[in-house]
Amino acid sequence: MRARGEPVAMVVDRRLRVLFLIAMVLLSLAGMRSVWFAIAKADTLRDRAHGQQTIQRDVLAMRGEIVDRNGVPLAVTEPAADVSVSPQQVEELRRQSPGQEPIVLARLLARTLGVDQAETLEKITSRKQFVYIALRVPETKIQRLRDLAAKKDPRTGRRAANLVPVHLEPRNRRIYPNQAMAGQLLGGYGDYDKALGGLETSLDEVLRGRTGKVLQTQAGSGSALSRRVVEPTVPGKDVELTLDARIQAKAEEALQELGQTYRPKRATAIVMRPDGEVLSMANWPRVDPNDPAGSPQYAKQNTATNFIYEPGSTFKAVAVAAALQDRVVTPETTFTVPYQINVADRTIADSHPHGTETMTPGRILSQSSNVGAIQVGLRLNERKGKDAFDKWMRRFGFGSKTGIGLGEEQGLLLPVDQYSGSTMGNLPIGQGQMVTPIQIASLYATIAGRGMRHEPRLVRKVGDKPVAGSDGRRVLRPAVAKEVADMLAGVFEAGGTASAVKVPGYTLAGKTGTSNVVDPDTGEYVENRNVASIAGFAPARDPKVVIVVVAEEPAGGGYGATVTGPAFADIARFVLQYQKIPPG
Amino acid sequence: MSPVTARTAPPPDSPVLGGGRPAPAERRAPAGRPVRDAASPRPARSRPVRPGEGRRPDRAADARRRPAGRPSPRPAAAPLPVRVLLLPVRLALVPLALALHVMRRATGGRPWLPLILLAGCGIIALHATTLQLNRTIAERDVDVAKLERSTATLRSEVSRLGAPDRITRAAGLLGMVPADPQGVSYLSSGDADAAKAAKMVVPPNATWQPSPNPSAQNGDAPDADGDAATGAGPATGTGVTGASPTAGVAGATGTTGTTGPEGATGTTGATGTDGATGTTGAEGTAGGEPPAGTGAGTPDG
Repeated sequence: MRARGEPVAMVVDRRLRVLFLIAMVLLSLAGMRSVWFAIAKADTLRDRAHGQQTIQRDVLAMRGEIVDRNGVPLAVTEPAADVSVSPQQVEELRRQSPGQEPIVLARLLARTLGVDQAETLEKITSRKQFVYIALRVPETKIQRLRDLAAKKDPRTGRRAANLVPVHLEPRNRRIYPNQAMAGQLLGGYGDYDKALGGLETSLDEVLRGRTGKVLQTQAGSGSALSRRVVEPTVPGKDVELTLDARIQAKAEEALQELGQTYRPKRATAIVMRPDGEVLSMANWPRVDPNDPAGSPQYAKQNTATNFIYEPGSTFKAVAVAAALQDRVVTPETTFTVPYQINVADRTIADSHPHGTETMTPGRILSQSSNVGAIQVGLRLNERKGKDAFDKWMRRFGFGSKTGIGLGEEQGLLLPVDQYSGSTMGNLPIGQGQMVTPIQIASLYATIAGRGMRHEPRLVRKVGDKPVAGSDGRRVLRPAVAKEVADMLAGVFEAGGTASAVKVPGYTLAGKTGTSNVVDPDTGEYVENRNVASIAGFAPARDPKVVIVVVAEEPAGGGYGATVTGPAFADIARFVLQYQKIPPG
Repeated sequence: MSPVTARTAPPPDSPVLGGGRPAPAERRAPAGRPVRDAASPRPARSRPVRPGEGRRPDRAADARRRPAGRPSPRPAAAPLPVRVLLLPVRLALVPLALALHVMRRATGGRPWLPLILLAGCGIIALHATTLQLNRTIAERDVDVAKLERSTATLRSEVSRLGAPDRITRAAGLLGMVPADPQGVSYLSSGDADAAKAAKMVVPPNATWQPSPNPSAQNGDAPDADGDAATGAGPATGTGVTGASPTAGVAGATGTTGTTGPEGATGTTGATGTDGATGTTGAEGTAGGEPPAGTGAGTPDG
């Protein structure tokens, strides 16, 4: 109200002042509020805003593939996720208006993931913090889940389901496309991105890569506004093995036949090149790495590297090679070999009765004479010292790991100071030491490789980088290796223990072995329970491939040549033709 | 609103406007219009005055009213040592003062306002574009990740479909059987075999045409109605391994089938097993003409 006589300008002026004052008060209040937010509530608000706008996601590093030497995939990876649900969020959703009944979510999960609906409903309505619905669900199924959930109801315009309570943890789903092929060698890959043995474990560091983290800022609508890489994702590297899938398949086929015929506890076949490259490492019974729980534990073991046994006659090559290398004997040296021999308190006889014969080292090998081999070993120690044979065993790699890059046994050699009087009556004939099939393969690869011993290897390339093989270490003079190879060729000739094992067009060289199994209760060798084996290479004159076949406790016993010989011939025939190795 | 006070134009010799400079009105006088004499008094022009303006002290007027002999009040000068001490500070402030001055001059004028507004809009637009770009990048990243996952899925599918076991099974269902390794044997050659084989090499028949039936090219049983059909026209069969190797001759290695008298064509000669004809040889010889294969049997040296 304007007072009488008061000019209009004064009134306006006063009103403006009042308005200005009100504006200033409001502004001050707003300022104080913002100061309150900026100081007192800053942390809480920042956290809330951060939580609403930014999401940190793990970006899964795809596990590297494992392929054979020709690029045939042996293990591949498919993106997948572990699907879990928060029952608390399910309950919150139910209470909202409009809410979502748990059955809607349960039905959708059951339909897309192939799980039981009733069980799922029970899980998601429990009082737990979170429940797993399915593990390692393939990406295709996850996408279907999303698609179905996003489908809008034409009447209500609402989404089919709200997937807020569903959490996806990215995982690698490992697939072994060849099913059981090389199952034990490859190992397996289980839940929660854990390698389950074999190459998957030993190469885990290389294959795994590194999971990255991405910070994603998103709008209220959920669409991404920006992405910031917090930790870069490093995908796993692919690994190329020295293995050949076709040879592996053939070796497994041969073992399958052996298994069906002789019913051993387990069997293995190793095919490798003299330079140590393993072409096949087959096991029987077969294990499918796609289904790790589907096989018994003992079968999952890689027999080629983890089975320790007394090698029997396949070990006689060590005695003869060592004696030749140390110039204790020559190929022409003769031994007077009776049917049996006494070493300290023990009498050792040959497998078949015979009169006293004169044998050369070559004949000792071809006839697999225990007495002859013991005589060679005894002569070696007599001339070169009591630890000479022990040194030779170690020089050939026995008693230590081969370095193949897998979890492996190293075998067992008795220390020289613990030798009894009869120990040297055992060792030259392959008793009293424990070896693995891969060690035997390495021994024969050394002879086939003109006396150079290379570490067996399985990995050819990591990523794009070739993995160099070992340079090798000379163990035998080339001439000695050739002499031993010639002697071993006699094993497959008429009169040899493996004369029935033949590959038309090729000369084979090698040695059969049959060793009895020791009863752990009595400590005595048991009749009719043995390990049958054969180790050799082909072609004998210019070896290209080394093959070892070992069968543990074939039903009813059986000699190495009988049990493992056919598998050896079968594999050799295939490999020689497949690798286009000229006859000879 | 009524004018409170009326201000008249100052006289030309006013010390405030500076007598030497022409008045703005004089400068902006339009052509053809009589210029008003600077000396003539400007007609009094009234201007509405804002509230409170009348009470604002007029410093110029104060100055005019101030007696000439009385100096204006100035802050007392600091003593010399203090001034010397403050000199570096003053010098340091010179650039700041200059910058402020330039800023004031630069932004003080009206033309700058739209420019600043424009710059502001530009910054906002730039920000919005950056945001949009970020969003696009984020979407592309998501797309890339999706595609990578999809590729990995497809790759695993391919490896599953191409697994040797599966191929073998599928081939088996189609009636195929793996080649029998035991069906292959090797022959040893004698000294004269190379010369003999060289003699048998003949130039290819210029009139030879590939069979339209691909199965015949592969040594499969020829179709009944194809050109390779036996009995009709020139026989196109697999190479017959020379004169049928007889017992005691260690098989015959057929060389690539060559033309016969009637243009019959043999395909790859077989590697014979001991003393026998080749595994794939001796087919398609039922034509009206004599068998044409010229692959020679090489006796075991």
